[in-house]
Amino acid sequence: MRLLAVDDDALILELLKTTLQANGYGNIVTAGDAKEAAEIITKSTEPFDGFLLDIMMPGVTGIELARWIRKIPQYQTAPILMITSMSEKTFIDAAFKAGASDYVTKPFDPVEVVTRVRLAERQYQSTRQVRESSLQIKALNAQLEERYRAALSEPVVLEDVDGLIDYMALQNYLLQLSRGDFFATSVLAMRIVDVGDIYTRCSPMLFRDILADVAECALSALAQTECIMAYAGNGAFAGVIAFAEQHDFDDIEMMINVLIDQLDLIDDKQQPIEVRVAVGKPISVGITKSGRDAVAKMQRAVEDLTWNQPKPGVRHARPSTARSLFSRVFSMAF
Amino acid sequence: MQQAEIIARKIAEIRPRFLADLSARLDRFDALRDEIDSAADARPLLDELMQGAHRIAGLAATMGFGDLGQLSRQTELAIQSHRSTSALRPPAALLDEIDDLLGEMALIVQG
Repeated sequence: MRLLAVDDDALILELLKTTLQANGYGNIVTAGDAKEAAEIITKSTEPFDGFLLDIMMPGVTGIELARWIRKIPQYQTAPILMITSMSEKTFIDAAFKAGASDYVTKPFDPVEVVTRVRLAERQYQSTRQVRESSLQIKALNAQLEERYRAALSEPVVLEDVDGLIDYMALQNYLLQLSRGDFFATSVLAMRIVDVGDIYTRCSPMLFRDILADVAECALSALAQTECIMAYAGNGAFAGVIAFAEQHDFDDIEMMINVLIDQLDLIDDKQQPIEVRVAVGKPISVGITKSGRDAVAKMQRAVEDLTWNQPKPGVRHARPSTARSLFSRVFSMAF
Repeated sequence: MQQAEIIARKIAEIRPRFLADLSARLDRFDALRDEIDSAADARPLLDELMQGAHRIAGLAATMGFGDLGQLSRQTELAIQSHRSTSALRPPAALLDEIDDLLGEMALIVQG
């Protein structure tokens, strides 16, 4: 533990140094006044782990010095022990307000000095451990964020969303369908409006959470349909749906947006974030030579919706409509 | 070497220097005490005495002079208390207190 002891009495500094060195604190630097101490602190390349400051010194007092030390970021939690005589008890409050951690009374008992320094050292180590743990947590979070970082266009896999499958798997599903199945099958695309803006405002993890939330809302709204859905990248979702003509997709779009509204989504700065979904018209696969054609149709549907302007004035449900749609969604879900 | 032994040796090493400082301080205190008797405004003289007493109080007991430590502390506090008033001259009780300290210092210095 590297300590800086400051006292205008050279004999006290000598005694302090010997006492601490005899108890295993070999790295003690001394200063005769606050000015010299400030110079040592400023010029020191090796940081100090703690300070022992006499309160009453000519010129700048130990209290003022403690206040100055506390303003240095690396010493915000370093132990500062004030060395004080009993007659200076009135100064103790001021010393603690200035950032002192503890005090040792003069004439000092060498045992007391060492005990106080040990205590300060233990407290400091525990504070440092907490700070290091917090830094480790921050580093892990950063790693996690990095792990989740993906280009906007990437069809990332959204884990933990029941019913949502991998985009590749959805394409494989289409490839597996028989020609007969194609007649009743449509492909469907939906996308998040202004997704680029949301992507910019959110951390990678939060962006994935939003995608997962949107997927869950879409799957809830599509619960009564036979739809298999996947995330296709660029904020777009692709779906394969049977008997699409039996459903009203304007209603489904409204339901999705009502459900998203209920989530009160916020960005990393805790600011509300508006997330709206535009649902494209289902495209019937119809007469198709192969599954590959069906896949191409689905990709086109996604691309059309992704690269074309979103529908003008994405429909917002009026409150009464929203309430009725919301209850419809939940009555369908349960 | 035991830690207590190391510290005891250091105290023994420092003591002669403490006594030399005390002797020089005694001379200065005697001069200040004489000036106080004739000064119309004794406040700066008392301030210097208070600071000197504070220095002695910080180390005397550790050097093995418990009574000196206590007397210096009392004197320091008494001057401090007097200095919180606007009086230009010290009361007789405070002068007695200062004299007691000077007596104790002289006893130690003379061995």
